[in-house]
This record gives sequence, structure tokens and C-alpha cells, in this order.
Amino acid sequence: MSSRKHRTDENIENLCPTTRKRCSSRNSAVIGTVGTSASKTSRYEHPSSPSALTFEALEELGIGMLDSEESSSSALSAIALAVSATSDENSNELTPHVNATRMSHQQQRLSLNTTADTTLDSSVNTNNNTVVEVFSEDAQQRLLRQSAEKLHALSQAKRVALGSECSSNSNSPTKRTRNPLATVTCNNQSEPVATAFAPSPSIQHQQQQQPPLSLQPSTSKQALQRQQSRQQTQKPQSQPQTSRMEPSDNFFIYRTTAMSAHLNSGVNYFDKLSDEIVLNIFKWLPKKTLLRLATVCRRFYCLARDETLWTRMDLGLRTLCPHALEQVVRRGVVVLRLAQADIQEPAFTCPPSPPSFNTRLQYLDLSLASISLNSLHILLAHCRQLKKLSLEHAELNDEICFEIAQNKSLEALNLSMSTGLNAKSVGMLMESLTNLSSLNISWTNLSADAITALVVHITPNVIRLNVAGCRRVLFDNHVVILQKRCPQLLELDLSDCNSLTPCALKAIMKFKMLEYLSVSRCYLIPVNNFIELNAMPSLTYLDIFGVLTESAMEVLEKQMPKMGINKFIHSSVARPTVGTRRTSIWGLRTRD
Amino acid sequence: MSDCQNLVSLRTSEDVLHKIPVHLCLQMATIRNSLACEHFSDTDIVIPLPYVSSQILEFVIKWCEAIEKQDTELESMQLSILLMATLPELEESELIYDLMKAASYLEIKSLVEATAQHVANKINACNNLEDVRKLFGEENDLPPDDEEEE
Repeated sequence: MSSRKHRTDENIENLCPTTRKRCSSRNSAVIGTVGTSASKTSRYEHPSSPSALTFEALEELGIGMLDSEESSSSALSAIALAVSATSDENSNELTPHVNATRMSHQQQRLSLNTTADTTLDSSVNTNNNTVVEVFSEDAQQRLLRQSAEKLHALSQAKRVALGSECSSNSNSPTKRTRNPLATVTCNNQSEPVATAFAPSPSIQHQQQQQPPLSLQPSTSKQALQRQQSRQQTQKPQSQPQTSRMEPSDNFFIYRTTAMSAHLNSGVNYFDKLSDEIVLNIFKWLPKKTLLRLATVCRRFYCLARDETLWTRMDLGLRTLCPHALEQVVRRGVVVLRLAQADIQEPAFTCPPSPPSFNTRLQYLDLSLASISLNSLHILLAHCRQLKKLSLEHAELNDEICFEIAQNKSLEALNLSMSTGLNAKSVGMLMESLTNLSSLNISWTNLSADAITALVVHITPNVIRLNVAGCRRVLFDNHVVILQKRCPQLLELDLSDCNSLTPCALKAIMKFKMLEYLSVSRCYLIPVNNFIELNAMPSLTYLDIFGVLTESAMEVLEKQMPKMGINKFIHSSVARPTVGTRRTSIWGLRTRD
Repeated sequence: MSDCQNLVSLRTSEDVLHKIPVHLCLQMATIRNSLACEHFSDTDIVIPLPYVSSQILEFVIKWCEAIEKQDTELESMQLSILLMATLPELEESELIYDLMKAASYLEIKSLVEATAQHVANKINACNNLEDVRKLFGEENDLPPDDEEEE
């Protein structure tokens, strides 16, 4: 692990918090109480960015990030934490040399600490030597008393905190709720200080914090209360100093002594929790953390890979290393966005057929993704439950289309601007995708035969169809066939199919439910024909870009007052993301 | 007891009876269901809670009271903050895990979320695996594996 020499560098986070606290305590110890604020300055002066400063600096004290609302109130909390940290370290560094039972207990703690934390080395332990306790009672009693006193101190702490907090500049209620927490920890931490400390020359650095601590066992309640009152007076004092370097963003209280105590006792608290509860915890964690958690222990490995945690993923614009896609897909992802992703070869280790496993993918967005034919083939070969698929701008071939066709429950298919489609594959797709309701096959350079195959085999369930860009291949009779095949069509985009003539319009008129029609840039249709579309009761939107002059447009608009003309520039048929929304595909969240 | 405030008796694992006003208990789905099944009379009903200790039950009651005072639905982060505000003594103890179990057993959705979010925040704060292991007392029993990359 990183050596402590670098503790003032950015790598603090690699140190375990207890070590960090020890290191920082060494700095602070020399300075003393009011100086804890000053020492905090030194600790906080990292050569790093402000946000990292916040996080790392607080991490040093063992304070994690919670919520980014706290700034001014955190001054108070920070003081509390500083005080607590100091005392906490000291309690951690109890040098076991007074009596055997405590010694063994302490050693056990220390050794557990050591084994768990490889950064711990002798130089840290030397700090222990500066802290000497002269105990007259054994460890257990002390600890018991500590916990009792803690609870007692809590109420006091809260009162103090709330009092001082209300007087200070906090605005939001959340800030107010934050502080009791902070001060609680502070006072908790101070318990061990009060109770665990006997004065000796080596504790001069602590003296400032607890001057009246005499040679009697300082575990007395009196000393404790003295301690508390001292701290209460000290808090406002140190407040101005600490407020200046408040790195504040988010933090919450890290563990205190008591918690550390039970940790090192070897009891595994996660064992107490059922898997369901643990999964509940894990579901709030970002995926990166989940991956790291998987390496903690076997149980976490299994839990972190649980498929309920991996149902949605957004890997848009990412570069996927070789085999990464296979890993992702094997996790049971259901909603996967790979838009504009770069998928490196080889993405899969398994052959396309027979598929060794079936992915759970239902919503797959591969728009503009850079993926090889082979990988795409293997990927789709393992998908049998797809409901919506976007392969915009993808390279296709017959095999891929075959695999697509096997997803019988496919509802939306976006093949816009893809290449590699021919009559055979189109026909096959249309024949087998009987549940299809939205199809976007625009600008795919289809041949006339392909169009024929399309309209002949297309399922009557289709209600949105975009065949734009079929220049010189889509003819009126295709439209006629289409109309007979799909009379329930709601949305039809025939833009740039410049072979269409007014006969097509006649066929279009027969669509009884058509709401949206686009015949932009169909130059062969004279303008006045469009007025006939008024007769279609259901038609609400008409796009005829590129056909009319402005004056003609005005005329048309007057003639068709109820029609929304030229309202939509881009088609949204079967498209996963429309407009600027990028975190959902087809209305489904990709990030949870 | 007066008729206006119906109390429900909950017997915790140490066989201690706690009398809790009904409206607080209704937050707990488990108890809600048992109350629905039983014939509701004015006499106190005793519901055994073998998996909940008295200490934890006190925490739970505090939580229920705090939630009652909230008008709006809180989302998880707010809930965890509320948790810490109501029960600050949880912060340093392992009781948070017992509380999680109790919340799960009693099916108090808000408490489950709050505690889960709180523990998740703790995990998030850990900067390396060792921290996580220490935090929860887990041991590394994995064979030497490469870490996964995605």
C-alpha cells in the first residue's frame, strides 16, 4: 500500500482511514487542541483540486461524503470531527502495557488492524508510545463505561450542537439535521479521550485538550463532564479557525472507536444480514463500486453480480475492451445502451451457434455503435427476447438479419441508415417479426425487390413505418400493397421517395387511421393534390418539406387549417432517443 | 387505556412487552397484516416479534414517529439523513445492521431504504477494498483473481 511518506500527497485515499487518522493525529498532536484546527489546515493542504481536497482531506479524518449541501454548517461539524479524530486516534493507539487483559485485548485490536491494513507499520506504532495510559481498571470495564458515557454524552452533544448550530449561519433544514450527527461523533470520540487518558509527560500534546485531567483515573463521570463542558466552550473558539479551511462538501461521520472496537473483534456484521438486505444496500451503489465490491470476499462476489443490480446499463460513447461486451451481457442486463460505443474485438469468446447462453436483453440500443459484423452476429445470436432494437447506421448481413428475425417478440426495429440489407433478408425479417409495431428502415439503399418483399410480407401489426429515402425504388404500387396490408397504420414516412405520384396519394387516402404522413421532397406530387388530404379525418400532421415555396405554403395552410404542417423535421419512428434525452432509450431509464 | 388511543403490544425477543400506539405500528407492513387478520378489539393485542430486540424496537418506534411527522414522501437520501438525525447513536454501533434486519422483518419500507442508503454511503466512502472489508468485518476468501474491468 502507499507509504505514509506520501500521506500529504493525493494518495491518501489508499491508506486505510485509521492509518490516515494516526498520521494526521501526529501532526495535530504536536499542536494541541485549538491547534487542531491549524493542523487540519496542514492536513487539508494537498496539491489537489478543491473537490479532491474536500474529499481527501475529509477522508483523512475518516469522513466520507454524503451530500453536497453542507458548507457553513460543516464548519461546526468539521471541528467536531477534528476533535473526534484526534481522540479517536489516541484511543486506537492505546499502548497495552499496563495490565495483561487489556494488553491482550489491545494487541488483538492492533494486530487485527495490522493484518487488515498493510499500511500499518512501526512508525505508526511509535505514535502509540507517545500515548500512555495509566489505567487502574481493566479494559472491559473501561469500554463498558465508555459506551454508557457515550450515550449520556450524546444528548448533551446534540443540545450543544443544535444550539450552536442555530446560532450560526445554517440556512437549510438539512444542515441543521446534519450537525447533531457531527457533534455526536465528536462527543462520542471524546469519551475515550476523557476516559482513556491518564496524564503523563508523553501526553503533553493532549494536555491542552484535557488540562484538568489529573492522575486519578479519568474515567470518572466528573472528569467526563468536565471534558464535555470544556469542549462546549472550545467549540465556538475553534470555529472561526476551522471555518476558513472548510473543504466542506459532503461528508458524514466515519466510524468511532466503539465501532472500530467491534470490527476488530472479528464479528462479521454482514453475516447478520440476509442476502436480500445486502442487495438492498448494494442497489444504491454505483456500478463501479459494485465491481470493486465483488473483490472483497466470496459472498460479495456473488452478491455484486446478482442480476437485479445489473438490469440497466448505459455504456454510450464508451470504448469496450475485448470481451467486455460478453461480460456485460452475461450479467443479465435487460436495458442496454451502447450508442456510439466502440466495441473492440474480440467481443465474445463463444461461437454464435449454438448459443451457449441466452442474454436477457430486451432493449438494445446499438445506434452508431462501432461493432464488427462478427461480434454483432454473436451478440444477436444470443438474444432471443429482444423487444426493441436499434441498429441505426450498422453494418448488417444475412446472418445478422436471421438472428434478429429469431426475436419473435420484437416490437420496434430501427434499421435506419444501415447497410447490407437485401431482398432476401428483408423478406425474412418481415415474415418472422409478426409482433413488430414500429419499423424504421429508412435510407437503407433497398432495392425495388427489397421494397416489394417489405410491403408484401410486413406484418399487419405495424403502426409506424418509416421507409424514407427509397429513391427511385418505391413506387405507387408499393404504397397500394402496403395500404392493403397494413390498413391500421398510424404513422407513415415516405420522404424522399421521389418516385411517388398522385396515385400514391390516392392509396394513402385509404388509410383510415393515419395520423402522420410525410411526403417531403416527393417532387412528382403537385401541390394541390395535398389539399385532398383534408378529406382524411384522422390525419393531423403533414410534413412536406422541400416541396413548397413560402407563398404556396401559406396557401396550403389556409386550405388545411386543422393540419399541422411541417412540424417534425426528424422522424422518431422506432428511435430510442429522441431529441436531447440521452439517458433513456425508448422511454426506459438506462441508469438506475 | 383510553379508547381513543389503541395500543398494540409487541413482545420482543427478550419477552418484554412494549405498548405502541397503533398508528405507528401501521407503518410496519408485517404488523399491519397481522392486525388486519385479527379481530380488532379494544383489549390489547399482543404481537410477538421474536427477531426484534427491545433496543432495536425503540429505535424503530423513534423512526416511525419521525416519519409520521413528515408530510411529504422522502426519497432515499433524505431518508438516510433523517435516520441519522433521529437515531444518531446508530452511527457508531453495529446496531445499524440489526436495525436493517428489523426493518426488513417488519417491512417498514422507509426504514429499509434509509438504512440501506446509509450503509451504501459508507461503502461509497471507502476508498479501497480494505476499507470495505474492515467496515463490515468481511474476510477475503477469494482465490487470487484478477479484478474485473469494464
